[in-house]
Amino acid sequence: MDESAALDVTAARAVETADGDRVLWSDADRDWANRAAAAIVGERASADEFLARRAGLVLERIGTRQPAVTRTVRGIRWRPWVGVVTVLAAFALGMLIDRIGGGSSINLLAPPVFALVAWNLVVYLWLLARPLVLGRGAPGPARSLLIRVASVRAPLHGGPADAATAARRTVLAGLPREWARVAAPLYSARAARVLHLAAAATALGVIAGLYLRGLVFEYRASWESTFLGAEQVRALLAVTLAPGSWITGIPVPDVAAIEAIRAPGSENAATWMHLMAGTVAVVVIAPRLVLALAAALLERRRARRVRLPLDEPYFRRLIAGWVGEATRVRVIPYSYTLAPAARAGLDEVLARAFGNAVATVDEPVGWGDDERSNPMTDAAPGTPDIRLALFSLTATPEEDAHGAFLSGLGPGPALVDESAFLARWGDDPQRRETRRAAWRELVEAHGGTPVFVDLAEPDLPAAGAQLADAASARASGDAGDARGR
Amino acid sequence: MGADAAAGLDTAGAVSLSLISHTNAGKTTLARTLLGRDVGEVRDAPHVTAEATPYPLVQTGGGDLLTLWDTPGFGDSVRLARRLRQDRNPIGWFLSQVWDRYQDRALWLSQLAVRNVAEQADVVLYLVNAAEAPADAGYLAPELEVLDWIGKPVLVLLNQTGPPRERTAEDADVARWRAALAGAGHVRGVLAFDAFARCWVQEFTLFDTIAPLVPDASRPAFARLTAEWRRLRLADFDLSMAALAEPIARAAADRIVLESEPLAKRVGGSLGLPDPVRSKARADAAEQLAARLRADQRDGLQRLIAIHRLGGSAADAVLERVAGDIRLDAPLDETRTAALGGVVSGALTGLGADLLAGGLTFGAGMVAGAIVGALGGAGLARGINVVRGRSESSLAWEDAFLDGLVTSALLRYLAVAHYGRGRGDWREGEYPPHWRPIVVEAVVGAQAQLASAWARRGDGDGAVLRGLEPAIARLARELLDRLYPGVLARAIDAP
Repeated sequence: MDESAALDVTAARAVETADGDRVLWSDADRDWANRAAAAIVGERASADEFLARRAGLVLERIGTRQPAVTRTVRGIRWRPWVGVVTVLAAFALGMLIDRIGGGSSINLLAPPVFALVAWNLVVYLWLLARPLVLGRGAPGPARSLLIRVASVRAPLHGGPADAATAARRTVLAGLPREWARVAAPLYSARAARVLHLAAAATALGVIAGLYLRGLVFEYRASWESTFLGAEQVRALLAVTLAPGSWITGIPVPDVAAIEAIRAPGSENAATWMHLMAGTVAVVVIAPRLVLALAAALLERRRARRVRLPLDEPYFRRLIAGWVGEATRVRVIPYSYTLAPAARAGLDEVLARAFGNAVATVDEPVGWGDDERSNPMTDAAPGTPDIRLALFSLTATPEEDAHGAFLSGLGPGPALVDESAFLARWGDDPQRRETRRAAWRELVEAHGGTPVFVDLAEPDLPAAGAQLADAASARASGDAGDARGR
Repeated sequence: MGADAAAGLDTAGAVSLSLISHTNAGKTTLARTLLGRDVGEVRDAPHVTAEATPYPLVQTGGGDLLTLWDTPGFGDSVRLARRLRQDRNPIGWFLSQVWDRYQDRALWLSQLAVRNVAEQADVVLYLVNAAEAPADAGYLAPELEVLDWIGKPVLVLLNQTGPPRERTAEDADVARWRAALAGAGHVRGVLAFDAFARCWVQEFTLFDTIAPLVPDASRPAFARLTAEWRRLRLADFDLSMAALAEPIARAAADRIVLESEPLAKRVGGSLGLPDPVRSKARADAAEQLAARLRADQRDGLQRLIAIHRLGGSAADAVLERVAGDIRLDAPLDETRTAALGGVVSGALTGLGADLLAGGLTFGAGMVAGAIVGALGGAGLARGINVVRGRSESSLAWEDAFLDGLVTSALLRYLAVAHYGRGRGDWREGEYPPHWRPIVVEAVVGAQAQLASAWARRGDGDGAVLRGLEPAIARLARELLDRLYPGVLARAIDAP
């Protein structure tokens, strides 16, 4: 998936997951987006195409209602001009560095050029050592700063908010964070390209500054030292200017020539300038350009193929709903007939927890009914992905009845409806807690995870999340078992 | 020990009731509530009670005895019913008990219960969990089958109905279960009888319903036992009324004489000139008055709790609520209010301000709360009245405030009377919302009678009590009759 599509998908995901109360983006909207995107991309399309198309539709529709979302999405895209400005500023800086450095004489032992070369060598070493120290892909401080300036920003907060505003804020706060996570490798390469170019530009600026000023002033070359004699200086310069000497073909002057320009003596600096420029070109500019090119290639590849965390429940649900079979959820009430209000609540909770899953609710299994207490033997079509036991908190959990049923069902999430209990004992939290504890003990003894919900008035975000967690804990437990075998 | 002890008790004039149900339906809780003492073990878990235990419920002077058996709950009822179907000979399964005892506790406990009922019970009290729909109580059918096999008359009690509710809701529950149990041959009646929130008046209905189910030979004895039960409960009622009325009568007669003031000051006061010394004196006096009321109310509630054989104490926290419970719901007499306004001088408004500022911190929160509650915040200082005599002024509770005390006393009485001991120590909870309107209505209806009681306050609390106690007793009976129509009248008319 390319960068722009990935951003759309991430934005759509931020809208759909952050808006827990479904104020901005309702269940109907979600369904519509699923159906419309599936209709447009057709059966043969890949999951990426489907997700991208769907995200486009989501943003289009929500953009008309919440322009702030569109603005934010636009706002967190990479700004190429920041890169251009950075490179130009680096060039200007390079020109200025030389100006600051020396007036009209070049101290052979302390020119800014040497500092530049030394710094870049340190950087090359760092680039080699970085994967060992920081680990792969983590951007260093310079890159992070650049990324922050050029794209991802923290959104603004403040003022009181109604439900829609609060929801929008959650979305807008979540999106940049989420995008920064998804696009981190791409942005890291991009920042690396800009920074390499900027380093090359700085070096070029230094040289350009020297030559430009060399046209109108005469630079004099000289050196002085408390500790070093001409021979040592010659040796030092021979080593440091060797790359320049190699590329320009100009030999480094001999000891006598160097002795001659010891301060207060001096000579015209043209030769030295060529040597220095050559050195900078070889040590800084060329390698940096190569690195920039490599970063650019990497950036292009990553921009074409942004990796989304498709194994997260949100994407899994969407993809499962489109390709392959939807998650099938089978709810098996045990000795409990749901009141109509609780039934409606159950549907909502299931929709929340399992997205567009196909959920069926069985006829209640009769209390202590041995023949039917093993639902695995039921003649139900297909094997559901998730089997969900449903109990009522009004019942006392009994090993012989409820426990036997759970044993037949195998470990998994168990939903305990509190609506009937609360209708009787609403004002007695202590009583509810002891009953909950009894259920928790029984369900956990059978390897399951109890989820307590008042189905008559479910707290949808919490209940949905708990149930999804309980079900996926089970699923990942299965995967772990499978790997173990 | 069960069988032998019971055999000894099984003489003429003895009746046995067996409490039986699915496990954790609340048998022991109900036994505690009926007995008024902590028997057995109560926990929200299955199979807490592991043996059948007899408890003497009531005894007459003539040696009649009503025994209540608490039994283990039915566990695996389906299997129990199946085993009975296969093997109708009880000897067979008694022999297998040893095996079951270790292998299948639930089944073994069920057998114990069945055996007890089969051997001991004259009438079976079968408890069901009314919070569950009858259709969801999957154990119901096999358990009825077992009861059918036992062949004793069964009275179904709906337990776990929740806090007291409107009668229509209760009736709907009863109708639902009655319909579900229509086919069961031995079920002779269905009663809503919650172990947590039953009222003693409902026990009369329980006895009346049991009476025709008792074997013919025991009927005279049961009638005598019923009469004894009624006598005990009505005696409790009379004691309760005294416990309610006495603190209020004392509050009505209570007064604190304020120090007399020079004429000039009195004139200044009636002109509304502020006087910090007088304000302070009156605030102190009001606080004393409130402290006395508070202590009295606490003792009264403590007595009420003891009379109803409940545990726990009337904590101060509970009494803080009394103030909140007092609310004047009757329209104020306009002329009287106007006269009151004249008597209550500006200084008393100052008292109100004092109370508001510091009252909540130095313990007069009760007064502030009561006053605000009594008059809905309109006339802040009017809960306490300054009565100006010829030479001295005194501070006393305002009539409307005393009416408020009657309302709150009756509400608390209902709360205590509906508090089953099985629920544990008494603690104050929210009152069911349908109580307050009927209590207020009753108190407003009795205002004339109350006013005549307050009119005698000058003659001391004894005089007030003579008028107040019958008034409160009549109000309480009215209320109970409204909640449980006809039951009390029948009980009082009965020989």
